[in-house]
Amino acid sequence: MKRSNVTALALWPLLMSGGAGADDPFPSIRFDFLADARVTLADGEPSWFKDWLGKGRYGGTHWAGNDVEGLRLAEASILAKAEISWDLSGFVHAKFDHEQGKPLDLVEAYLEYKPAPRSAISYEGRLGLMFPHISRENVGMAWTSPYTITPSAINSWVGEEIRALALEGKAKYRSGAHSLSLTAALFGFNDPAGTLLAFRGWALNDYKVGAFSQLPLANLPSIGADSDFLNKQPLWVHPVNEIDGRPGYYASLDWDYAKRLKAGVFYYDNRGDPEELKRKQYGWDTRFWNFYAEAEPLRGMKLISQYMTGSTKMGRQRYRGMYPVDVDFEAVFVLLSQKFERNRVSVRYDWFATDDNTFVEEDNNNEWGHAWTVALSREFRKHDQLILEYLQLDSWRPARKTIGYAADQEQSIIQISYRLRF
Amino acid sequence: MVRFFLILVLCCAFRSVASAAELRVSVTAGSDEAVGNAVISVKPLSPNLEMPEPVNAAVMAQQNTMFAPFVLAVAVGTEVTFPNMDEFRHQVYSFSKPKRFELRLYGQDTTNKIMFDKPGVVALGCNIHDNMLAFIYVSEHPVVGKTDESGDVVFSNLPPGGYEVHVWHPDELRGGDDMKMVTLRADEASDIAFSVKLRPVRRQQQPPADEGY
Ligand SMILES: [Cu+2]
Repeated sequence: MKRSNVTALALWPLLMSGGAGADDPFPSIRFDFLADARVTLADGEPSWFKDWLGKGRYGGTHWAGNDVEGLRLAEASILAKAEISWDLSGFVHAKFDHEQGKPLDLVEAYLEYKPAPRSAISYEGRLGLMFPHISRENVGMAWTSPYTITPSAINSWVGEEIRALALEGKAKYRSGAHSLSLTAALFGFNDPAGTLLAFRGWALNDYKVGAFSQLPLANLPSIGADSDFLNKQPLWVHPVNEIDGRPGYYASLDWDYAKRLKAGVFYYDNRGDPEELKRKQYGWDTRFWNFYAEAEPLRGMKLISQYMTGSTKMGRQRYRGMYPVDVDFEAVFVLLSQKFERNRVSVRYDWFATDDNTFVEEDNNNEWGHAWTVALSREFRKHDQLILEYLQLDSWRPARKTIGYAADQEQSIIQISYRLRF
Repeated sequence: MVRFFLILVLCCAFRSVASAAELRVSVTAGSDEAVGNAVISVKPLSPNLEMPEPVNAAVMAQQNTMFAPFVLAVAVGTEVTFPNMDEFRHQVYSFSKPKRFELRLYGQDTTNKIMFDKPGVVALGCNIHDNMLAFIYVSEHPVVGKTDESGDVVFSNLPPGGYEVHVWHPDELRGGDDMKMVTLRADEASDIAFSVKLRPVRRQQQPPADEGY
């Protein structure tokens, strides 16, 4: 939480349309930077990020198995928060990652209107490109998790494919130690969401997509120009994209008791038109529920659990109204984390599955798997964080056989990350 | 004449020093848990008692993204100062019945004052920092104090007489001690023990999440 206030002289004439007192500190801009230096050691199948079906951000090599990578830059993020007035602020998060489709890309950019509560019910709103509040893990700066390097399967997917160009409103009711919030949003530019979940399945990786970047898909026989099943689906997805011109919506209800017990439910429907194809991308009809519970049973201890269930459909309907891709998905995790002064220990168990309802012969998108994650972290300097993480993945996905791998795969990934903040 | 005055002066001195009574209050919950941050207010039964001058200024600071203190006990008519010790902004608010307000504290050394003229509990929050939480208990009684970490508070220099002693805590549930009567005698210390019922999950002001942006 660096708070170097830099008065934005350049923005002054732009944002202040007169009327401000001389000692008025608005507008002001604060910049924060995050650089994530990473050392990785991985075995098992090669990563989906390298066009295979491996579930980690890093994996073994296609030929040799184990892969060791010395120091690399996993990401560098710049965050800018402009305070325009007491109630209005703007936020921009841009990320540099040399593995990203566009090396420098936009993660979030929105305006937030949040006046101080004047009664037990207060209102706030956001407008722009944003993460809907689904993840209970990615509460750190630049959408990182303070608990682990790698988020759960659920929140990995949120980072990869869920982003909304949204108008979001929130009403919050406070009574004593309780608070209850109702959030609702209309959004666009998230029609291809679901592509990765169908053709790749769940994954555990800390890659969050930029708005203008594409993500790779494995060269499966069912997709790509040579395919006789879905030859209009290219071997990539661009999740932040409007295909059908139909807005989607999401809504959530969140309960908080003394900031130590939290629970909520979230529903998302991008109202995608599965038959619409534009700019080489389909509109996927993706909808899901996310439920969570969070508790702080002891000081410094966090227990977090999320459960997600949903479905996605895509393609021109074939006989008997069946969509070429019609997949149900489901995942759950439980995370326990304990902080000791500047140290933290976290353990998480993930379980995930997809269930393919159509054309399994041609395009098998079934899978199930589970994962254990153990992470140790220590804070350095003011808010730097050194994290050592061990991730063990075990999953079954028959589609692997079509690209020369066994359906069952086990994998271990060890990562050391130093998150430098300034 | 001189002698008369001397006696008068002695009398007064005697009255204000020697006859003062002391009230020692301790608050516990459940099986002997010491309860800090419990507000104790003292009301004389007779209106003729000459009570100590009420303290009518108090401070609720914003420091290190926290309110300090967590609980502030004041008598009605107290003016509370809100100094911002941080280099950044705070937007302090209350929508509690006794006082609704919003304070815009720009940065270090900005100070605002609020007069609390109605009794009741005022919950404070900060619109910028969600972790910030504090309570101002505005008492209609002339003497107020709050218990320390070991659950104790001492009122000295109370005039002898009958009193109602009230207790309040932010996490208090019904069914515990609420008020007790006491008669204070000159030059004596009296003890009162309250046993209150508290919620299993307590409200606390967490330090700001270092990870949060
Ligand atoms: Cu604040």
